[in-house]
Amino acid sequence: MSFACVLVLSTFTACDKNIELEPETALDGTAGFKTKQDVDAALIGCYSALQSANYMGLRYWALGDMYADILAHTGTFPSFAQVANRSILADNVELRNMWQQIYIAINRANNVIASAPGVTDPSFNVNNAIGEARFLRAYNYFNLLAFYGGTPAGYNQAGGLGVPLVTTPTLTAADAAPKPRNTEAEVWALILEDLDFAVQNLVNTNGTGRANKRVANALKARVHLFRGEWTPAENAAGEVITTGGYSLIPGSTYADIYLKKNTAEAIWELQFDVTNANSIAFFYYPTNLGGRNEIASTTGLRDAHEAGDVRQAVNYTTTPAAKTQKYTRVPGDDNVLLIRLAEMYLIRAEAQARSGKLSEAVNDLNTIRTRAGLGMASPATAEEIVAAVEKERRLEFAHEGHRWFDLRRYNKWSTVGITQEYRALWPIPQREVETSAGIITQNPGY
Amino acid sequence: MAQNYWQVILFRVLFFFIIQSVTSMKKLLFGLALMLVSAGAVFAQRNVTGKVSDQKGEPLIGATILVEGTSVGTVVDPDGSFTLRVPANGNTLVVSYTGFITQRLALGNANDYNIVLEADVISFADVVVVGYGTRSKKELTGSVSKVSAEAISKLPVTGLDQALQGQAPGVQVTAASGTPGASVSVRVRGPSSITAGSQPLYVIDGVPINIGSFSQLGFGGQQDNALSNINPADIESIEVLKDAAAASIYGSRASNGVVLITTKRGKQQKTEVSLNAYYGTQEVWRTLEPLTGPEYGALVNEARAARSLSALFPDPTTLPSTNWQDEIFRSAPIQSTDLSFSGGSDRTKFYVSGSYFNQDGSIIGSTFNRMSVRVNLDNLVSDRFKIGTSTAFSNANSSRINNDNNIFGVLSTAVLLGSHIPVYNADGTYARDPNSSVENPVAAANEPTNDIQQGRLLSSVFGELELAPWLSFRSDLSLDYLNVREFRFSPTTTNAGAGVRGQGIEAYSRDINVINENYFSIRKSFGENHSFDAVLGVSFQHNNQETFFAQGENYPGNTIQTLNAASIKKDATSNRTEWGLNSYFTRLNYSYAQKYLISASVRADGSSRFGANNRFGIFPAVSAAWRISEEGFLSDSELISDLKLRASWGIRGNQNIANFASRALIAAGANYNQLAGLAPTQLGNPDLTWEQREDLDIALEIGLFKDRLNFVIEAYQGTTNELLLGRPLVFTSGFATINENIGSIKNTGIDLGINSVNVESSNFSWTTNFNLSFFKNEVLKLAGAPFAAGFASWVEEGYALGSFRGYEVVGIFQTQDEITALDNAAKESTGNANAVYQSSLTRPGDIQFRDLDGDGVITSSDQKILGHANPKFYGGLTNNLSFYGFDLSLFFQFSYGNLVYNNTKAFAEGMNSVFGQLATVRDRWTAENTDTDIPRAVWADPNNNRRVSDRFLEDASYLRLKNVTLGYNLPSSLLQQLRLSKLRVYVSGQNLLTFTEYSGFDPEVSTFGETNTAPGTDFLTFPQSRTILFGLNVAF
Repeated sequence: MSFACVLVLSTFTACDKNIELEPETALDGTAGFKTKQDVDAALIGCYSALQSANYMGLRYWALGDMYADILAHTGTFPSFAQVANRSILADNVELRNMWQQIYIAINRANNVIASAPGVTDPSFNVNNAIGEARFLRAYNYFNLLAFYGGTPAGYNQAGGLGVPLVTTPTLTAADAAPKPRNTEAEVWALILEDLDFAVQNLVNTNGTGRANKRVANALKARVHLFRGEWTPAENAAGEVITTGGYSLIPGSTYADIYLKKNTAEAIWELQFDVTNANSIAFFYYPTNLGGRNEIASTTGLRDAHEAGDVRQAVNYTTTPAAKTQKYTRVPGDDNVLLIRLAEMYLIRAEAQARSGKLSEAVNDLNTIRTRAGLGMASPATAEEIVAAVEKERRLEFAHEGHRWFDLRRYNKWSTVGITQEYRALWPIPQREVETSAGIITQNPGY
Repeated sequence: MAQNYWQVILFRVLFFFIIQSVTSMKKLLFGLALMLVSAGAVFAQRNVTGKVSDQKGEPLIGATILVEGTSVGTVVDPDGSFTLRVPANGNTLVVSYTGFITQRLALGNANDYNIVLEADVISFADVVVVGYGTRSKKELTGSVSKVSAEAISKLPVTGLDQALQGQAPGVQVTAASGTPGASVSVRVRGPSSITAGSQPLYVIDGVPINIGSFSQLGFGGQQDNALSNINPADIESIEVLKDAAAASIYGSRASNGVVLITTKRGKQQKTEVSLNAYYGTQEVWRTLEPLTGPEYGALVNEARAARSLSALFPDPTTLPSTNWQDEIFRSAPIQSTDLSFSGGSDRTKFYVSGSYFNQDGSIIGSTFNRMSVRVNLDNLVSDRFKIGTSTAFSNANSSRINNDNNIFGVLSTAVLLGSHIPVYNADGTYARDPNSSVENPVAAANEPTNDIQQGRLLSSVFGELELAPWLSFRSDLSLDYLNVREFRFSPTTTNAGAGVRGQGIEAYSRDINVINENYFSIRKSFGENHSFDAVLGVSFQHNNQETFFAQGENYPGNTIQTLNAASIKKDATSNRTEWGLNSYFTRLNYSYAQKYLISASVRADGSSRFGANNRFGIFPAVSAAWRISEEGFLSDSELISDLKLRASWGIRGNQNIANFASRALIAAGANYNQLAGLAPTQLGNPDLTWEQREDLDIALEIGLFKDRLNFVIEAYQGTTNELLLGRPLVFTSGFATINENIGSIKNTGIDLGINSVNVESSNFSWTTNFNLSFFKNEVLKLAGAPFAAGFASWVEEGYALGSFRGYEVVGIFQTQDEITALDNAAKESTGNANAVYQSSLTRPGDIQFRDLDGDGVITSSDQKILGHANPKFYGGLTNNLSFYGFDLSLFFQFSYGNLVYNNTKAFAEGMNSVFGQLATVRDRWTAENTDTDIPRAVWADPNNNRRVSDRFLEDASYLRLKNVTLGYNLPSSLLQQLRLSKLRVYVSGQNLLTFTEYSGFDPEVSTFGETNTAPGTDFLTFPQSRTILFGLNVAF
């Protein structure tokens, strides 16, 4: 007790102790992470960053689906209304928080990447840890690029805009100096480099809800699809389909993909439980069921289903009205499916169609259609196949945040009523432009 | 190193004196024992009787009479007389009474004496408490305002901070809301910080206490207030130290001023029993008329039709009508009872009190009650050694409700739920609007349990030793122990509990604040003209805070609400944090012939909160005064009785930031899938240090007609530098801010105070107190770009803190041609064929906003500073009259020129969706009703008519009859028969009259509580009440 310094006048050190205090509920962060336990925990922290309601815990995919044609805004947040009205301003708080959260996730990954080599504990798999962190970093940059980068015509086009690349941890104020935006190509290069390292170094099984070699391959398939690299996309997706050990959940129990957790179809499922919960169902559900009625399924989504499509009941519920069976747990323990097997089929279908393997493409397309309780489709041309794939993707991944990026990839964003071309890219948060004194430039038009 | 050396010397000196005092105490005790033995000897005695009165002939009940040189004494009876057995060796009586000059009366042969005591010129009223001592008001060189017990006792307030409102120049008090026991914003000479807190330091009987909220649960903007634990009835006086000269002895915590609270202590008198009680009722003084249910339905249909959407209500005329405000506002009781005993002998004095206060809020579901006890004791152990304690315990219980920006708020939902919804469904369950997010107001008030219980022990013990007639040493050891327990249960009948099948929270906070202060006081005169007094001391303070929070969900029903019944243990967390402060201080006052006064003080504070490189701060102040009235040329003036010119300069600090704000931190809790995670959360800054407010103050004090009329006028300028701000970092760093000392803010102002004794005669007296304060605030420098706060507030260099920023309304578009013309101009000026002036969906009836930057389109750069929330001036006017036994007090309080952003209106007149709307929207624009400033109804408001604009910014100037009290005192003749010394009955009204142009519930409002950056915002905040009460004061 520091008051000893008054009562026991001879011990002067007690007085200094009164004002030289150490935090008890946090660690000193001056030198970053050091031990195996530290780095293991730091890696967990990287996943925790994904869980944020500003990121995969809701807004990343929900706002994307709202900007597209999956979700309607039924609530009170003016910042959501801007997204729903496709009139986003550069100071929109939701976009700002999302951008911030993704860079928080990147900084956490960078901390692991920088600290792991210093751990000398022989029981520590350094390369697996770095591989996991680099996978997550790639995923985070990919997510940034998807909203804020590219060109109105899509991704991997000439002159595509990127985001600032930060690849070392921020430990001091000097580390936090603004860095200018890199080109889209430079961001893709880092993503691919990180993913290749992850594929090479990650173990095959790494615990539920965490990255492993197969997950890294699946993300690679998605990355190549976005880049229009059809053969690598087909190969990566094919490898996951054939060697991953996953299987599609039967159409008769389609809702189980979401109502149950970590099914055979899940490649990477973000884990939530009641003590580490999200507010997704709370945002969907009406007030009498304990929600805040902020978002709902669009009638357009409902009407896009063919008769007999088992997905309609999941994508657009009747009780409660206009919600989804994908998120039903108001206490917040719904998992979020980040990558699942159906996507690999549809990636491979699209990639094969684009590279002339039409019958293989139709096969993959019909795998998804028949599972959904629909009849075989027989599109004849590559274009028809891609159009069919687009439709299946909209229905298959409704409420999972793929739709807006598909509209960008296909350069079809005008179909949701956007007339101003610049709105295909979301604005860089105005605060970022201001704080960096213009070093970080705004996307054109905003 | 220098500091350590200092410490060593100080401790050696202290140690020496403590040893000395222990030795001398032994001697004294021995002497005392001898005296007691000798007192047993028998002498011849005689009876002396008499009366003691003041100059008006009023008996001085409780005056003490001592036979000099003996321990024989008595006190004056309620009828003003006394009887005393005087020993043979007694030949002088010493008659004393507080506030009067002690009289020594030589005993002659007579046995009956009529003693008249003269009022002390420098009586209690003229002595003010300053940091670590007292001074006579005439000797002050700094700025101190005193609020007496009398002024406080008139107001039925929960916390003493509210009692300061309108009482002292330069002290701006704004009750954030009418929530019982909620926070109050107190600004001494303007807000002097942006992020580090602008509330003054509160010191009770020498103990700096913790204020603010220790609640872990959110209820909207209204925070809990730890000051509400203190019983206002125990307060003798409040002094507000306003300038650096007065306050900087409190160093690093003084930049927002210091409020010194002195509680009542016993006097040498017969025990006086005092009982004060009042009972009253409160009601909101204004309600806002909502649309009826059918009108609401028609409005929603009209708004939807404007966008070719289907009608929501096929036949609005059949809709029910609920006035939700009628359902939630109520007439609520307020009552207070306190009982005190005070008295003492020449050696031991005591003040013992107990009180009970109970207030129900004027909105259903909110209550506050407090029980408190206090024991203040003083004992002369010997003639040179005095000990004492001030100890109070209070227990406050409050039942809280959500409000403000909260979909579960009571008033919030009462305004924003449409009147077409009934309170209950046919089956008795609460009705809700299926299209809306908001709760049923009655359910929000009555269904959840939201209890907070605060137990607070505030205790200090002191010893004061007179080492020499001119030197004394005092040591205080004080404890402020605050225990806060919160319990929340949201049953399945609420929206919050429905989805999770009941939700319970238990939260505990404990805050232990230990302070030890030791100081020497020196008072010495040399010759006739030179007098010195000085203080030299050390202070150590350590604060330790622990919190615990647990949350459970999924209950078997709503009956068992404790966490044992929750099947899902959702959250359990605890936290420990602490801070320490080591301080060394001194002050020297010198007076030459009571004419020229100078004072200098310095305090060195070392705080655990700051960076290792900058832990200590030095806070000096100097001041001087010239009492011109003591000069020869004025000494005979009939007119001028007092004239003083004073000036001061000094530096004060602010350390009000997070405990480990200077440290790089890696936090726990970044968990995933039941695995523990860590994540960096804060960057370190070892250079972090105090905010420093530098003040200049100049004042003129004038007393006229033997001080019956007193003026004080003061001008000040205070600049706070090294503001503790989070310097914004680019998010790409993974951090949002780093704590740095950047920025400055300036307050300048003039404070004026007038006290006047208009009439003073035996049967009629009339006094007037008036104070008026002008101030101007300007943000000089920020850490980065201007930033937004609250709903419409904006912090930018060159503007006042509390500024509002938004769009400017031009008017309402009456024709499509007007819109088309602007759209065409927009296409031309931007060269973009798709460009429009505002929105492609703008139609007649929508608002046209001003194109401030002239680029032809309305963008976010068409916003400007629209004004600010600070008043041009504010103040109070109190008139106290007494006529025979009657007394009347009228207290007006006012604020002029302050703006309020009425966000309630933005929602309740916004007509954009399903929110309930006020009756004012009946005047909305339609093709038939074009002469209006309220736009058309249109679903989802595509033109964004309700954006932040001057449309919702209102002048919230007000003049308020804050208190009027009429009392009657029973005459002394009757009192004597009843064996009472006082019996007064009174009736009192609060907020009886409010003159304001403001259209919301109440112009005195702050949705964000005691915020620095977003004051003057109104959003569904619990309004002030109008109170009528009856009270009784009895003493015997």
